[in-house]
Amino acid sequence: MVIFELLLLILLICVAVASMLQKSLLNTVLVFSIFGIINSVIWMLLRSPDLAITEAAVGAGVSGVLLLLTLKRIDELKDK
Amino acid sequence: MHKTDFLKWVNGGSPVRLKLERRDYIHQNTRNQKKEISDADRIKRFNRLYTILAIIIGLILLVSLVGLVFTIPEFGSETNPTNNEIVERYVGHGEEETGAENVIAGMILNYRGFDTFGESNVLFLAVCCVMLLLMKVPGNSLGADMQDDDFEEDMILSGVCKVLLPCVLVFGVSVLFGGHTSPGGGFSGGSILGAALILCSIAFGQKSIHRFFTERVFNVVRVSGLMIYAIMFGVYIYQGVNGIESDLAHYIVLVIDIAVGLVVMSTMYGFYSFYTKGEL
Repeated sequence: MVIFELLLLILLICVAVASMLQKSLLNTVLVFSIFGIINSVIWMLLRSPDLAITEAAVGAGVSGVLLLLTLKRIDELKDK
Repeated sequence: MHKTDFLKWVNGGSPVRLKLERRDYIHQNTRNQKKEISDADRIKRFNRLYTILAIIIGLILLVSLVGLVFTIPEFGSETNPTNNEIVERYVGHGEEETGAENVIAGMILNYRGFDTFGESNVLFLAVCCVMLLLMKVPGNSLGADMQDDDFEEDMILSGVCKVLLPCVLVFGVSVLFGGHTSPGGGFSGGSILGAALILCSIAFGQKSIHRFFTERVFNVVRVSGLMIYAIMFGVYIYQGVNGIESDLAHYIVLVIDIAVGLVVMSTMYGFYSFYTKGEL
């Protein structure tokens, strides 16, 4: 279990760095949603299910949707 | 041409003798080029300085944060400053004082109720600001340019949503209503319900939401949610938790939880709706 936690934490750092290095903003938002999902699993392993549910709903779902809508508003999603 | 000559001519004197001047274009061009090069140099120098400064600041932050990690107390040690009588009180007397079996719900809704009330207010104000900026009313230039494109129902998305949406809604309601006995509560349940509304709106079009969630309902829900919270929390403060019978306290936690959930739900859906269409 400890190995699984360590693996998740390493993956979390990798995803955080990867979300910064993406060329297009759309990919950044998608990778950031993955960050939220991994984060919620880590909250679950730290035995705080309240936070895990909120993180899964907000971090992985709603914040991604809102960021995508912002990208749509500033015409970033169109092909260049 | 001298100034005095010109003045004389204006006043009716003899016509001015004009002299052709040959400007030194080449000289000027080289001067401009020199200026451009120096600008480019300055930008390059600034970029180099920027990189160096960023690395230095990043290193300082890294060293100080890693140093801080070594000085924090051992995790779970008995002598930690967090291990004081507050934890004992919350965990030991939480259930009888707040009526919430889930200690965390009791903590965030009663002992630290002001925090949660402030957060609900922040959400309420955030939706108000989004409405101010993006609402489609005459005179609002940001909201006016929202194009309402014709909605086409996507077969895959709507087919999946027909199966998925009831599950999401039931899960959200169970998390919202079971907040005081099991993990969950107002914030998580409200955000799940808000996500379900957003999903419904994406899959079946915003008009499908209008059957039960119009702008009037939206306003009533978010204002009444906040009001219920304020009134219930006021009852808690002035009555004192021990003055209320345990059964009643149990219900008050549930009511506050639902009020927070309603505020969060309407906020989530309001954000989505005002961002896409500029109206509900």
